Amino acid sequence: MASLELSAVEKAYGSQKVIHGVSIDIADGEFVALVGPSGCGKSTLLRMIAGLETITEGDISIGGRRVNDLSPKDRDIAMVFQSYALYPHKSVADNMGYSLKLQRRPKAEIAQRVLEAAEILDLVPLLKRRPSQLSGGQRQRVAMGRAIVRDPDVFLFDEPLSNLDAKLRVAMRTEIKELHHRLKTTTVYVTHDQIEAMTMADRIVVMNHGLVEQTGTPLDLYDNPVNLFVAGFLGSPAMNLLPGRVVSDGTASFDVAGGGRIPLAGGRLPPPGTGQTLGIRPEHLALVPSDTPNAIALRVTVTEPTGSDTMIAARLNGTEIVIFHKDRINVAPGEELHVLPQPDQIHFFDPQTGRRHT
Amino acid sequence: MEISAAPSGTARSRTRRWMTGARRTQLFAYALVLPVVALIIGLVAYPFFFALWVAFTDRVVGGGGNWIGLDNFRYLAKTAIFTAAIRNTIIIVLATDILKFAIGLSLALLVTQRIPARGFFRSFLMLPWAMPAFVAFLTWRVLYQPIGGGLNLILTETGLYPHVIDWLGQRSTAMPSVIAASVWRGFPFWFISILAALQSIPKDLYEAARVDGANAWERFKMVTFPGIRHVVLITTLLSSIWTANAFEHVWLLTQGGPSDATMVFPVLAYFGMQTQRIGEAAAVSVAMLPIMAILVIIVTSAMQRDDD
Repeated sequence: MASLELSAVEKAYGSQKVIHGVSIDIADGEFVALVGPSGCGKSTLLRMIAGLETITEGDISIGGRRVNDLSPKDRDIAMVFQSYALYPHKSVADNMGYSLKLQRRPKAEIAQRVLEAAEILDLVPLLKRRPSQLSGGQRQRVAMGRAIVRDPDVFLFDEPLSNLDAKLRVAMRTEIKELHHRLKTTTVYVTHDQIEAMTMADRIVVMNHGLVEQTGTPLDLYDNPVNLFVAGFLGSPAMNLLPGRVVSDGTASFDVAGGGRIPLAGGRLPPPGTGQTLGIRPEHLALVPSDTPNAIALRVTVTEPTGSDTMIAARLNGTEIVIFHKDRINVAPGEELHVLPQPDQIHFFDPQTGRRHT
Repeated sequence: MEISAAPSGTARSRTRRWMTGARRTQLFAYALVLPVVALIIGLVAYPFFFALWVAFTDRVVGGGGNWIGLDNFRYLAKTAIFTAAIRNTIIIVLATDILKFAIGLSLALLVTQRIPARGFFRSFLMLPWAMPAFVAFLTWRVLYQPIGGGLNLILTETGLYPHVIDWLGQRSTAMPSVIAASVWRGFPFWFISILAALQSIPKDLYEAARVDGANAWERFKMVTFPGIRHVVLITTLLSSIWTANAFEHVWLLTQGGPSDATMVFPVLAYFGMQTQRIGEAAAVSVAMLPIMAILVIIVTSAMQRDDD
């Protein structure tokens, strides 16, 4: 186990820069998720940590040792690939033990360590099978087995659950988290799925266009996004982002650009008259009776009941607003409903810079 | 009337039932397949079994031929030319397969690297395969000529070897020369097949092997070779059959000479036909079958093992 430091890491292909000076410190035993949309550079960064991509500028250190010029095998890392990348002609046991075989470890030791890893991952009955004889979830576990057999300093996961169906993905999420609790190996986990990042990581690094947008614990990022990108990226359903401006005629309120007004209950508001984007999460819009003071009237367009909760898409004049309610709500499209935003959960963002108004 | 009408009505309905539904669809399907079956029987099965039958007769051009059992084969087995043909065919097949594999694999690996003008090389390397065989081998014959031949000119002009070599005219060099020309003409098929197989190997596997700590040779053993194994087996099978049945390379270069040094089955069969002894010529062709069958069994069982 070891810490991992990235300092001002850059990557360029010719004149095309794809990673623009990323610095992240990952503590020993920490589980960090790199999350962002496709093409944000998260996989490239992971591959740079692995040694599969060269580093154009900056330094990467594992356990205090600069690894920029070391080959992947000398970095003491193990990687789990999205496609699992299992050797198709080799048995599960051979796949898992290959790295140890290359290290010229004694056969008995290899067998022992493969067996131990297989026991952790419930793979013992499958050790003699070939990858083609396994299900997607089993292959995924073999790929993880191959990584843990090595007992590396750092685990690198590159979107490992993307090829699994939704149910299995949830199960594997728990399994990986449990594995991390058990092994306490420093882990960097790349995903485009913010739910995976939120549920699994100790800390999340949100990336966009080769830059780190924000780093923090999952709930910190969820509650206090520093900019529009993080606010819109984390959370499902996504935060409502409404363009408009703050007005103050006695009491403060927010004029939504598409029409309609949201009353504001004070707090630190941006200066009146300036263009702003108001952000509020769907679960922070409480359904209230129509005679509630300051209630906002919305027209329902779609309801999505999941059984345990209900998502409602509704319109405030021309602007769509999503409401998430932890209960069953019986409303039909076309009906009117009234909501009241929780005042302390309203965020303002500068539409030009995207930064949050503090 | 009523009594007699009932069974006939039942029979009619039974006939109608027999011809309806699934059975009619089935018959229609057979009718659609029939022309192809007839074609296969006429163009593949009939000539094959006819040749097989002729091999057991003393048929000559113009004559009907009588069944003589294994006499043709007994006769052939005693002739030196037949044993030379067996030996030479095996040598040519083995040597060309090995060389074509080595060259095809090396070039395929080379053009999968990031080299300049990669696309051009990929097309350029296909040229020998695209060239008509007779043009290719006649060109090689010109190159091999003792007087004015390209090869000798290169050797003498550069001073590498001052003496003229009669490449196709002496026993020691005739076979290597035929093999060299065959390899030149045949390697592109191996090259393109292996290249296609190489391109289908997921990059992740190489990266996983690098992370596991495999060096270039270990990656070749663990990822590249298993990835192309299937294609190499099929290519070996096809290439061996084609080479064993090929006529033009030997015929255009040496006609089996000098003194049977390059005699192969197809040329020997052709000589048999020229002497008008069709039965004997057919026996030469049929004698190749067991060799081919053994090869097919080896390759297909290796492939089956892979699948299991």
